[in-house]
Amino acid sequence: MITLALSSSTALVGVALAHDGDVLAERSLLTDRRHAEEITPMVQAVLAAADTQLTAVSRIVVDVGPGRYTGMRVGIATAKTLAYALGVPVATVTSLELIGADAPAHDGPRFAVVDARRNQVFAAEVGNATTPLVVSPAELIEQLPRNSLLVGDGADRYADEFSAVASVHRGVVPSVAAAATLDLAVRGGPAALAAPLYLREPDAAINIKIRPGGVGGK
Amino acid sequence: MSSLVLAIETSCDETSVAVVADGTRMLSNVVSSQIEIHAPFGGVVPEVASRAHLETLEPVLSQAMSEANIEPADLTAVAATNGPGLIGALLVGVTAAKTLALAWDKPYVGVNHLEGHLFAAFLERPDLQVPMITMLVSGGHTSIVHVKERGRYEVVGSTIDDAAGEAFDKVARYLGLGYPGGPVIDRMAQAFEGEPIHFPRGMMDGSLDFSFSGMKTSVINYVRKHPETPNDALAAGFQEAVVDVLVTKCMQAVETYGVASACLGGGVAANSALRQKFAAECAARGVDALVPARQFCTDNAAMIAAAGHWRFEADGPTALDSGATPNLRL
Repeated sequence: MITLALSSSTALVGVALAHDGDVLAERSLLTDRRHAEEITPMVQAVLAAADTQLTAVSRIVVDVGPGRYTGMRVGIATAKTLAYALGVPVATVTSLELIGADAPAHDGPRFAVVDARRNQVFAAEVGNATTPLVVSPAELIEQLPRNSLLVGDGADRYADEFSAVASVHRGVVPSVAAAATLDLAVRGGPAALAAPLYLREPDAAINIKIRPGGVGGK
Repeated sequence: MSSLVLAIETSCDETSVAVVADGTRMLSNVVSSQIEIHAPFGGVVPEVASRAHLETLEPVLSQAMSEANIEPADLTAVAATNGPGLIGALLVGVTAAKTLALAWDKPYVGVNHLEGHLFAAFLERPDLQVPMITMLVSGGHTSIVHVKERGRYEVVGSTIDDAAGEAFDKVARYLGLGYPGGPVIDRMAQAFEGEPIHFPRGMMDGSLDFSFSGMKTSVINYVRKHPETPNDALAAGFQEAVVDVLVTKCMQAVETYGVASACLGGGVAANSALRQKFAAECAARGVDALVPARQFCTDNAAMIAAAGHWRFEADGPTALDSGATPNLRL
């Protein structure tokens, strides 16, 4: 079975192609805001590198966040559209699972932490499939068991605060290769269910801050 | 040469997918409006719009393909609006179109939303003569465009502050009439039988530019001075003032550039008073007027497919590593 995996919910845009458990090709790039520009050519590049036709793909796996709203939508729009065009199922993974997949070994609990902006982070213990926390760095610190290891861009951003109470291993990004090779036996599902894991209401719904008019409105 | 273009439009608050043959013959045009989702906020909320586009796009796409009754292999190109508009919203449509282009092995074409509005005219009147003057009036735009030929435009007038549709929304909100403001003000004005309040017309100085912010302020000032004035007299007066300015300047452009045809576009072109006065003033000058059906005034993907057909023939495909430009100009 050939799986195409997409991850673009953090600063990383990544695409990987795998045959069962073997990665055939992978491309990734760290970018601030070029997720939409990069992802389509990256799918093309991965297929070309593996000398594989898109029609050979029998499953899409997509990172649904939590993370950057626009990045999540770019990945999911790509996944759902591919699923529609190819008639294949989409499975979802979280950004926190993909970060956890590249966390180094550690003799204590490990946490994947994604920057949520607005002085918050999304966090989940690696290997623990509970709903991610949406908390401030200070709130997360209060909940951390002793001897914890933190990875992910949220851990990097607040490394100074976290380092006082836990270990931080910097520079861990979502592993799109892990997404392509994850055992997904129980995760296949119709594309319509591939929804972003926003975990927060739109700011406007929180603030009731109004933007009058439509396009270009002031 | 026969062509078949599928287009996706997600620049603001309508999710739309259409299939158009030869740039003029519409095979499907599915539009899903988000108006009700944004109504509680009194305006379009960008993040709310982006979220809704992602949820709606696939069912709309699927319906547009099945109504057109075509196979992907029949398509010539896949187009999407790539600006101007809300960036998060635009990127949903652009990403989907680029992905379809890749999956179906077809060229991708990025289309300027404003050029789409200009091409809406040709969906109904493929024979329409250029050069012409097109006035685009919506919640985000108010421009008079001199269409010299298909693909060659000059914006000869535009708003210096609020767009016309934005002014309708703001006045409606001030009067407590709800959102969107255009249709409700239009209905009240139509039903009103008395003497509309006269409001000053902004920038009637011979220029082709508009200012609607002052007009909104004069409504507010009038209500403060005359708090007993009924809303329908205010709505009728405000609409009359906006329509008067729009049509006067459009006719001035028609005369200045000596064109034989004129066209309306954009959501505000659904306004009944604007449609009537525009048609009457064009007729009085012997100008061939096109007042598009309301479905082609508001945002729709058929007009993007029409423009996309033409853009593809003129410029070829757009690169798959392109994105969207929120402030794209004509």
